[in-house]
Amino acid sequence: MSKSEYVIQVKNIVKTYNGKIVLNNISFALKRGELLAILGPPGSGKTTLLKIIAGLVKQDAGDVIINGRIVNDLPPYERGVSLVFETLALYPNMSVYENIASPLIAEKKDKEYIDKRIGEITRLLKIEHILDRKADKLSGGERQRVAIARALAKEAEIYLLDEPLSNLDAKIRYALRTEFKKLKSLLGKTIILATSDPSDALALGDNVVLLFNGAIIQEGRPSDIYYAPRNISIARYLTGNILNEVSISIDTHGDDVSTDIGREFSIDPYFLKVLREVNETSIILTSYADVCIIDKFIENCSGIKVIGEFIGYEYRGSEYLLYARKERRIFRSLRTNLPNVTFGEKVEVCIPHRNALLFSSKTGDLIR
Amino acid sequence: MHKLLSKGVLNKGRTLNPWLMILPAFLILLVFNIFPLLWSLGISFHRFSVIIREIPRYVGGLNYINVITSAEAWDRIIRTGIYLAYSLSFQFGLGLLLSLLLFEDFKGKRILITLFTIPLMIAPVASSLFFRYLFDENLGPVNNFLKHVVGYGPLWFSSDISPLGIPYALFTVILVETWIWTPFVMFLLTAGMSSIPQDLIEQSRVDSLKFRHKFRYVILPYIKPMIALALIFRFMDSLKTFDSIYILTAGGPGATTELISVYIYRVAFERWDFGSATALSYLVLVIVIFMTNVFMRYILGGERS
Amino acid sequence: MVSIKLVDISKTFGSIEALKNVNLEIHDGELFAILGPSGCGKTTLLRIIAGLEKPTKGRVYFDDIDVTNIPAEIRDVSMVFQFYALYPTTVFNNIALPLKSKGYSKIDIEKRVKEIAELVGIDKALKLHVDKLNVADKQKVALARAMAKEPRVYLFDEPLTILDPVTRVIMRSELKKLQQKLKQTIIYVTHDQIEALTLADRIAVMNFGVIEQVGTSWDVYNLPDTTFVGWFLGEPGMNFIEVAVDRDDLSIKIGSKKIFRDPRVGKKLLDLGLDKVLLGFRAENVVLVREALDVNAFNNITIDGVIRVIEFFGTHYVVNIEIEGFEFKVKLNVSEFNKLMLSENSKINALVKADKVCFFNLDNNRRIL
Repeated sequence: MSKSEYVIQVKNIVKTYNGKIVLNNISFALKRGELLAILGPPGSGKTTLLKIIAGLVKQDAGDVIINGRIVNDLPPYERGVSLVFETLALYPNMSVYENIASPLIAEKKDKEYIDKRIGEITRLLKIEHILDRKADKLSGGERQRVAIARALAKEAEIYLLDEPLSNLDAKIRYALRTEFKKLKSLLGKTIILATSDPSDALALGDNVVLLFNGAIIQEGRPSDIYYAPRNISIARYLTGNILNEVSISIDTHGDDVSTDIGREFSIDPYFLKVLREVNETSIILTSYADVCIIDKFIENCSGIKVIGEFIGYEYRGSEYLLYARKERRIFRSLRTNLPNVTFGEKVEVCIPHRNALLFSSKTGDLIR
Repeated sequence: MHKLLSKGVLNKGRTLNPWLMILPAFLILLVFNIFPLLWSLGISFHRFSVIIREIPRYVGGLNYINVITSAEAWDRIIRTGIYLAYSLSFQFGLGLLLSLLLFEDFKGKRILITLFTIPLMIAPVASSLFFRYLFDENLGPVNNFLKHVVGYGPLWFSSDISPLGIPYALFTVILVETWIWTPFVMFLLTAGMSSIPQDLIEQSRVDSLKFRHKFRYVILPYIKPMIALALIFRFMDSLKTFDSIYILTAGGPGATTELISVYIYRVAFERWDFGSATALSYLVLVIVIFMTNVFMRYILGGERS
Repeated sequence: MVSIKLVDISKTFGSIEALKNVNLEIHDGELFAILGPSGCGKTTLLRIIAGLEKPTKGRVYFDDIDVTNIPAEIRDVSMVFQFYALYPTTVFNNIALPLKSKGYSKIDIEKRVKEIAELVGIDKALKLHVDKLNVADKQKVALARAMAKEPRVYLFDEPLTILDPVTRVIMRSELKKLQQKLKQTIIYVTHDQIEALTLADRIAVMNFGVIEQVGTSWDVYNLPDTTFVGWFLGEPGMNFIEVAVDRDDLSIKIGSKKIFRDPRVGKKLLDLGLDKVLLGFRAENVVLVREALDVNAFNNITIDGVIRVIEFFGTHYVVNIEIEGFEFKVKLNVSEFNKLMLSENSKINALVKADKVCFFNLDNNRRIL
């Protein structure tokens, strides 16, 4: 069928605007039926990259290869891509049906085909009941669904989606994310999705490419990136509000260990050995809230234990997120019940070595 | 070919176009604004009169010295100062009162607002004529009414001293100017008040703030820029007051209502001394620039400290 | 310091019905949250309690005294807005102004402002202009201003939403501590369920101008009165599956599959004249197992389905399971998930404890059991 096992390959793409590098040597490849999430903060070059793949912007160097064919010089409509922009440009005076049908009519498909295709897609996206409604009478969530339906109705090798779930309230976003993923596996589409929300990328992507300042800084399966972020800044970006950090310095003889959470802490001998083996004098230890423990008393802590101040909690219905403070560090712990402590009371905080990550203070890179 | 189009020709066009676009406007500005301005500045350093067909003679700063040392000019400037003080305080006092009234919600507010726009829509010449008739000492309805009720009608266009300590003629001019311009001030202040955040208004209601606190801490901070703007507009405009005076009193009786603008007109077109008239105009310009700066700094700067 | 009663409150703006026949009782000294999505009418309700808005219909009572026609100026309430609504002057003036209006003497004002500023932790900033403060301190000033005048009731309109997560948690704790100490009546409007669940003694959940449920955090989360409450609270929201009662053996079925054998439940439903209902349960209350299920167990609901979608959320996984065209979500923590080694489009068995499920009427979406 195709000459390559990859539907799309992007090789060494470079793009500059007015001397400023927007994309620096971007390469990745995608197999049929896969969903690749390009994750990066706003302004990291995600949209430009999608536009280059679609052929709306021309790269300075590098190749876009679709089905084994270099498409650098092909116009957008000959590349076999379908693109949804963040702004959801629906035709306001047209009905939902007409909106979704418009790309198919442009491709001169017959009525029967169009009806069948629209029926299929709209049923999956649960918008079959609003087909007659005008586009400007839709709610935010409906607009998003219609825009996605329009993009997917068109036959294409690759679907490019730019922030398809942004600007939606949390509940609808949550539901739409699942539907979207189901749709992808049912239809077997190859999708590249750009997003600035880490939870979108983790939940949706078969693979995630992390784009910071126009360069790929890490790529891999969502859980691989989540459990082994290459750099502390990636860890903070992905898990900012549940990440616990401690700075630790170890003197050259490996005898004295000091931290930025004071002098009074106990450390498990095995963990101390690990810290000494790391050939770095100044490290940042991180641990996610679901493994960190905060309680009145902690009997066995295989890691670092410190006494902090209980500053509050969040009740989320199914679980509690506890907050404790020690010096300038805030620690968070996810658990299913609330310990018997009041605000301002002393609590013990344990950062187990299980799932703990060590980063270099100097470079921020992952050590272990 | 595609490259050539996008880089070569179009780019050159882009750098040329802006100048071409503004050229007509610039030419008009040059001919009708900038040239007369410079020419008149030149005139203020010359002895020049149109009627005697003499060639303008360079006299250096003589015109300026003449104007500054002229007791007559100073009298007119002081007169204008008094006029400005009264006229602006009336306009701002009334304007503020009305805008505070409109700040509240009540029935018929919209109709009231429409009524307030009327003085602004009528040409000052027309409203002045109307008031000329209204306040006429013998035939006017105002004095007719007063004579019936109080048994006495003041001579509105005389140099008699009114209770405010200024001649009645000047008072009448101020009255008419206030009638015309109060709505303008009111609208600007209302615009300022509409920029007060709804939250803050409601907060002050819940806190049941006293009016003076509400005015000082909720309303005033938001209308300050508008007060500055209105002051600048009204100050510059009041200095130029001409048409209403011309219709109402023509500067009289004597020189009672001969404000600076009327005086300049007299010097230029009755004494035909163009040099002195332009010199005086430029002195007024200096005053305007100076006062504008004072208003700006005082009102906008006060907020920062 | 006051109990509040709302009776048959309706409010229309033009043709839009913002509130429909709201009845509510807020007890003296309780922290009461009004929770709902944007546009549900919660802020309108708060403004009616404040006296900033008049209800189209209905009465407002403070301690059994009808205050419906009393304007905000003399209701003696304090309000804290989302964007703090500070007067553009110094911190001291902000706190002192309402006191001046209340007729406090100069000495009393000085004392009271200092006292409150210390309590809230902004005593060092009293002489500063509020423009110089950061967001958290600005909100503290708003809080201090509200507290200083000792109102009958505090009305909070999402005051913590603009703060960063850690400051928000700390402020929440402070607020709760303060409330327990001062025993004040606080009404707290928010769209953030975590805020409501964490803070409130009781919560009213609103949707489209109607109060769906009033209850404690535990009640509204675990025993939702309506499907909306179940769906709105929790991430993900409650699962709902249409089920039928088998008239022969009184078992509960999804399509043709029997999932629950206990005849008592089936009988109860049939007695109520319902043979089709909605089954509701929370994603975290489902246990997944690979081995075959004992379908005769009375204390468990047992569902065998196919995994459709697996989503990774860092601290947990959400697995979507399909059965007979219906779908539900299961929340698993990472270690549980790794033990099971699940994959999409494979078969799996799900267990839900019988005491963790609710049944809802299909017609009006209200809970029956």
